[in-house]
Amino acid sequence: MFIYLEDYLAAGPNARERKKHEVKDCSTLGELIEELDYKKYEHFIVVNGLIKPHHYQLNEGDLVTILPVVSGG
Amino acid sequence: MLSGYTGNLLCFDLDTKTFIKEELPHELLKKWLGGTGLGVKYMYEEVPPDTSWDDPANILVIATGPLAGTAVKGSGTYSVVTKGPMTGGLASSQANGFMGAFLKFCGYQGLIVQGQASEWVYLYIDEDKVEIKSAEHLVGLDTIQTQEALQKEYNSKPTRISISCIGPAAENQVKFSCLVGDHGHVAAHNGIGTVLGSKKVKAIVVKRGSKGVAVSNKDKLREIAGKIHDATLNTPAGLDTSKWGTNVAHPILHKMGGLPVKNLTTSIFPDFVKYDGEALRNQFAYKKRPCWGCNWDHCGTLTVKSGPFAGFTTEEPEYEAMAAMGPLIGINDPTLSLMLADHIDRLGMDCNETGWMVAWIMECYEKGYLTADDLDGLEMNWGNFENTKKFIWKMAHREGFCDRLSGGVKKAAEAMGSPAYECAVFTGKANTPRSHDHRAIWNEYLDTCVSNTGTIETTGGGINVKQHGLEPISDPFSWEQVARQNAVLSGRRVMEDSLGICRLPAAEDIFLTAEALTAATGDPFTAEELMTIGKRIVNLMRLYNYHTGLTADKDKPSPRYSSSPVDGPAAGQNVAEAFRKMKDRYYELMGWDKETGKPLPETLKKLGLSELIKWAP
Repeated sequence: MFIYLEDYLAAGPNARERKKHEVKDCSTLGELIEELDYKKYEHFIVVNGLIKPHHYQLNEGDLVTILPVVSGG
Repeated sequence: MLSGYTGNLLCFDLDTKTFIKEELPHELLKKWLGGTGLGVKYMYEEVPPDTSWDDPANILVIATGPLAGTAVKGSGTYSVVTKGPMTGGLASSQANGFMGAFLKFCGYQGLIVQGQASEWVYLYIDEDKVEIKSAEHLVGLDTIQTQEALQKEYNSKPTRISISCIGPAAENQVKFSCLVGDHGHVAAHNGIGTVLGSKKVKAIVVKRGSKGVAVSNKDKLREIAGKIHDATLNTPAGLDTSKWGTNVAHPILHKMGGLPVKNLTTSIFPDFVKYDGEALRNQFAYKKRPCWGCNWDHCGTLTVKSGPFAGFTTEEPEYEAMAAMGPLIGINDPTLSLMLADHIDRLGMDCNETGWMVAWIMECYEKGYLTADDLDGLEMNWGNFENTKKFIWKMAHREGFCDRLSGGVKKAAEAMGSPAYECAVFTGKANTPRSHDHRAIWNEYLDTCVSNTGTIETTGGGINVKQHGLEPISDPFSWEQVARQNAVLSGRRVMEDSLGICRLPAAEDIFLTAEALTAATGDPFTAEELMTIGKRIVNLMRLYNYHTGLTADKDKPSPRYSSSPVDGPAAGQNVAEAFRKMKDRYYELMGWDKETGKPLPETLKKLGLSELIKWAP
């Protein structure tokens, strides 16, 4: 099954293209994070415009954005 | 004396217009490091908690740390600690620029200001030449004018002299006034500038001294400094921030519902793309102006290229100032946000508190709770640039209606009552959050509500949580996960603020930080020891604040701050329902009493604070 990965700056002038990405059926966001080697850092994951937890099960065509945590210094 | 330190603290007594040099013992530095830690320790020893913030007996500590002025990049940092007028408890805020390094080059680890001058003064430090000088000629000048006047007076380039000062807001005792230095670096929170204003200190001038910072192992420190720098760039947001500054946060936060829009009445801001860091650098002409020893493209000036404001130049605002004067108040033109951010800095007010205040007034105006007649004739509809500029000026000068706002959002909302009260964003301690919508970011939400400093204390940037034995949070709306993570990480940021380094280019990897400190001082430090020191500082702050009246019932959000987002990526999430459980669990994991929030005796003992047990029955 295919999902779409969107870089966190995709909407900015530094736009990076959405990537079509193949995942196994019934994959979760947690498994996707593991595969993308993003597990070391704090992050938020937005799927189709809503924040979702790692146990969310991906669906065909989902648009997934992985966002680093940024906050006050 | 430990290597990495310079030995002395300068203690100014404004009542007698004298100063002394106080030697800092080895054991004191080992236990508290410097910066925030040293400041908190001095507050505990010198200022009884029932002392009012404007009592001459209140002290203000400016201190840097053992890594300031060394090969570690971004090491011009200092912390300010005092008793702040916003919360009535401890204020702790750090700023970058040059002062931290220059103090050490003059031979000082920091300075303490106590007493109250009879007329306006500024403090001048040039190695052994230390003076308390008249500042009568600077009164009324804004923060940039003050810096320029003093620079001219000493015929010095900005890289040879560090000047920090207050603006008109602090002179007028607006309680959320700040200390602005080195053209755009601000120690902003909990009214640090207001305390200096109450002491009649307009500015602090530190020349770039000629004394070096002796470190134990120079080659090793240089090697580790390189590794630290590489580590900061090898993070998801580090590289982008190093290239485009903190405004890269706009698209990130908008996409996760963390951008504050129109006083939290919505989470949708269609123009967020225009506020992205790279977009700003394209729209305006950018000129790099880095802090001491930093090679990031994070700090610099922006000049408006075209339109009615062409030629206007200012320090590039950080994300928070742009958000406060952009989406938060319904302005969607970066040029106007830039100009308002400059206006606030010049007047010397905390951009966050100012932003939440203006946003609240605008919502009250839009809903008819306030009229233009109430607001001295100003129509304060969303996005009204001209009137916002006038309104902010009136806030700083406490003119007309705006005099009622000088105590900050909470005090003004309480005075105004319902229904305006329900729209205001603040915490029970009387500080506002940073310019984020924390209803989507629960770590920051909990931190803002329970912190001791008048701003966030534990969070800030992306920490590699694996170094602390944690996994990244798998559900951002799990109160249990959030409470646990904040409790484990508590202490890390105040520890870093005790070292004299900037969090952006110098504080990504705690193991490297420990190695750098070992190389600098010659004393072995481990990451675990550094976290213990951090937690020691947090717990001393907690206990001190308890005795100032900041009890557990003050660890709470205002009604609007605890509402559910009506739209955007966090729509419907109910932080109010989770907050009590999150706070209780946090107290438990911190080793604090569930009812009072005071550190338990065994917690104090574990942190080497047994002498405080009698203070925490």
